[in-house]
Amino acid sequence: MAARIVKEFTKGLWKEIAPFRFVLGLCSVLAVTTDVKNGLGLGCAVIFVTTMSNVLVSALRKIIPDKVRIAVFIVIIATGVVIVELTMQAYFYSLFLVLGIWIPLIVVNCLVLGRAEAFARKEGVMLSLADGVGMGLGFTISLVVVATIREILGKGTWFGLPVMWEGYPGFEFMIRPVGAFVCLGLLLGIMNVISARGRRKRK
Amino acid sequence: MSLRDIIKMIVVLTIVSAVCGGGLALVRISTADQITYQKIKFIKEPALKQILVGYDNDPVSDRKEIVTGKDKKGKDVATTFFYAKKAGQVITIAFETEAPGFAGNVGVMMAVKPDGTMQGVAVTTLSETPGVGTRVKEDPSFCAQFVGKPLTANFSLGAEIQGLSGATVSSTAVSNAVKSGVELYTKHKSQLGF
Repeated sequence: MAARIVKEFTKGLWKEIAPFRFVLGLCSVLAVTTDVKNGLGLGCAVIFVTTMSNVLVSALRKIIPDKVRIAVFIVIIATGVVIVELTMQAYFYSLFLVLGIWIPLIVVNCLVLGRAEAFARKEGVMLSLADGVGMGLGFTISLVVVATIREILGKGTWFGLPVMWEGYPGFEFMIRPVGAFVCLGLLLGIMNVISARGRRKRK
Repeated sequence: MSLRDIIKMIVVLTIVSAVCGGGLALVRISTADQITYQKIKFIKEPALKQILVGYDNDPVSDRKEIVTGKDKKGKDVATTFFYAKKAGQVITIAFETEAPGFAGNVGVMMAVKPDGTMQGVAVTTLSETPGVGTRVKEDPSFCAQFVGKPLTANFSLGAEIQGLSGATVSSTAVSNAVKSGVELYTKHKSQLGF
């Protein structure tokens, strides 16, 4: 059981890391990754929501009738999102101002509903918890990686701290939406190359 | 599909929604105060910092709402008063007023000392013509004219206050806002409690 929990947790970090492997939840990956702080903020919100929705869906899986399951999932997910929104407004107001519409949009992030439908609906609470945290963490890692590349190249800073040499002009292309697509595309390519190498070695 | 299934669906969905709704209501109630505080802090504090000096408390938490009038529908309109204190003693009271300008209302945060002199005036919100009307906010010498005057002074343009040339409408709006603020303050002075 313990091994299984570890497996479900770690699969979200590399083997099934959602934005790169399944290309899920891309809108927010592309939109909020102009700097690392925003990426991390949204990532934490998503960790909370996936974990909460996975645990509740899994706990209620035997009493939720099949025909209305999606409606029930959405109610649960939306509740989690509103909790995040209110908490963020109360304690991290500046982050709330920056992330704005992307917080309520977590409701329609296919990652969250995808985990509820594909995993939590069938598995036990502990496994779903591991899966939710792992998937959320994987999502956060993806956001931070994309944001790191974009912020360093685009603004010459990381987490707001200057990391490039003095007078770095800033590669503005990376801050623009196009930069997000290019960056994500390259990352996907690199990940596929690494995985393909790994498979060949095993053969 | 049997009737049993249908009833089960309805019951489950209703219960889940009700529990979630109740939970959210609880979260909302417990965060409401903190959210108002944060909103005021982020939106009003910059103006407060500009005009309040020498205080050692947090004026954003030492605030008081007083009903100061009614809107068109007969609902109460409240003004928030911010208390700046030093060693527990109120040294200044700040509040926001507004008056119509060239484009929309011009909001003005003004600070009054208990002895009835003007401590300072700062423009908070405005949507005036950039570079012209916005000078009432950008040019510190304009708002500085109000400082230190007694509340009984005539804050009209041309009397105690010189308007910015080219921005007469916006200057008038600030002066009108201050005048209505003085009126409001005088009227509700007894309710402020200091």
